[in-house]
Amino acid sequence: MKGKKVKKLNFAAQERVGWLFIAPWIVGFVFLTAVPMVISLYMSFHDWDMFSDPVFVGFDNFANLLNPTVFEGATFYAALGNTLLYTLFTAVINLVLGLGVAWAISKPSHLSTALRTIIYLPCMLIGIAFAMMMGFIFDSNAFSLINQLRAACGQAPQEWLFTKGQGVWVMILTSFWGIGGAMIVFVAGVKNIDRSIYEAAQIDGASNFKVFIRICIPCMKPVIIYQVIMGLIFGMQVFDIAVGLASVGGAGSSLGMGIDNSLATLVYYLYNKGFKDFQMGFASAIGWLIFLLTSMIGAGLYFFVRKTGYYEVD
Amino acid sequence: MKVFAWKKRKKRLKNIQVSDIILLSVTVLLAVIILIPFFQIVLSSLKTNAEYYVQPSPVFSKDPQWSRYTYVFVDLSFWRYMLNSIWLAAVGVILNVISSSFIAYGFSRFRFRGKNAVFIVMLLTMFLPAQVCSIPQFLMFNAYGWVDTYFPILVPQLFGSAASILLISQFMRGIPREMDEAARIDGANRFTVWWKIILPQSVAVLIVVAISSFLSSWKDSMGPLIYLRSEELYTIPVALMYFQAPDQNSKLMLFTGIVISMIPTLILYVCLQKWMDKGIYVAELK
Repeated sequence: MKGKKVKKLNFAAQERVGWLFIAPWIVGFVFLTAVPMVISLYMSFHDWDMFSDPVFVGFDNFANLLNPTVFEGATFYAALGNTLLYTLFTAVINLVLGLGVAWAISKPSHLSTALRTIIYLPCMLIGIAFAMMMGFIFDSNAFSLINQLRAACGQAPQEWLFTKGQGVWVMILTSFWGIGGAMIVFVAGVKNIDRSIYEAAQIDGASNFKVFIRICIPCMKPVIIYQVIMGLIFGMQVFDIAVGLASVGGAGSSLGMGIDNSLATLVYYLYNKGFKDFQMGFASAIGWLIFLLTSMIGAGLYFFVRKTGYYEVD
Repeated sequence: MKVFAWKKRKKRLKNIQVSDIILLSVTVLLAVIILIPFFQIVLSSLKTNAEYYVQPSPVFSKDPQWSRYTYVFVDLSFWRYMLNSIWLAAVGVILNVISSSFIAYGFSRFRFRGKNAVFIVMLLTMFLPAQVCSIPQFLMFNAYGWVDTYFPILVPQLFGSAASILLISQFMRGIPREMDEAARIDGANRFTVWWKIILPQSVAVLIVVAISSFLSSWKDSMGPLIYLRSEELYTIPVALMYFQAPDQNSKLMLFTGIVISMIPTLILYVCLQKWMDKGIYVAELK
């Protein structure tokens, strides 16, 4: 009796039951990711407003998006430019300040705990609430904090968010408040380094700065590279900050993405086209361009990292 | 004895270098800068209209408008939006944790052909911009008549999420297989082993995953903005986006709403400090 039960634990039986357990993920993947992606590709070659029948338009959607002389194309390039600027600068800010702060507070003390909590505080907020909070500081009227400060210096109030080419810099500035996320990851990385390496270096008389450059950074290379790659990929999907900032200014918010697309980002453009204008085919085309861009960036980074041998990719 | 202690202290002080002090001071400065908007919004939300719309505006209000908080919370239904947000995040977390641990059990305890390929595909989906699928998903949920319900936000949680599955399955690999085998010999089936043996052992990792997924649902704005139309269903991000107050100081009301929206996660952070640190770490990692 007992022997029979043990015998049942053979390889073939394991195989079938295993598929049963991972089945939910496969079902979800097929119905929420794979099929939608195919439908999205199909729809990107169509024009569809959800009320009449879809009309096949070939590559028109993509052609319009990539042609800077038409309205859609101009908006797309503005959104692309803003998104790339934001992604790049945010990655740098997160890396430099996140790592620096993580190093500064890595020695356990009450001060370190307090600093970590405060610096992480903005990351705990709902993205839109945080963006609105920052947005009101850069509000265009004379009574926002930044314009009050300008007034104190004898300068006229300025329109910050809704000036072309300027709104994106406010977005980049707000990412300074988001360094807490990178910091948390880097603190864990610093704490994972074997303390005896530090002690050896200290006995040899190395300064803290030298320990940071020569020991901390090399030991944390995998964490740093992972964080940069994720930062670049998720930076391309920036939405909350732009929407929150754009909702602040009365006139600007009704226009959608700020004035002259000052706060346009790729995902924000997709959201507006798909869920405000209901141009489903066009929005799908934007979605696929975001996907292709992100894949190119991801694959490029992967091969760069592998070629330079900075990171063992398994 | 005393001299010895003093010498020890001196040695400790010697270990603190000038660069340390500079670095910490800069960090303190950064922390102060980070706090400025928080002070600004809390102080502004307490100002009267006349105090806010004046130049220069006083830092502290002489007549703090605490009643504005009860007005926004009760009369402008922020209590309801907050409950909606919490309910939605909590149910989502339960579904996500149960399904992810079920799937993770499959990945960590079975050897079968094709498993690694599926696992790699799953890891790749973590890098996929979710927005590519958002339009077809909307059309699909629209066809089911699910727009303006919570289903489009909750149902995807039933199928687990890649990051949670990855983390839980790594943890489960550390649980000795002898436990499963002993239970199997005693006549338990695979499902019972997962539910009765593996889940109770994984509580630590499940809590961490739960916190990280709670935070991401709580912060999520795009899903609710797309799917929720009627006011009774609004979550906090949607309520803030479509904020309307009847009278002319609606901007100050909105400040109050933003401050209110910060309170739940702060309470959670204070109560669950120890677990939160790990949960946040996981949330930031993915």
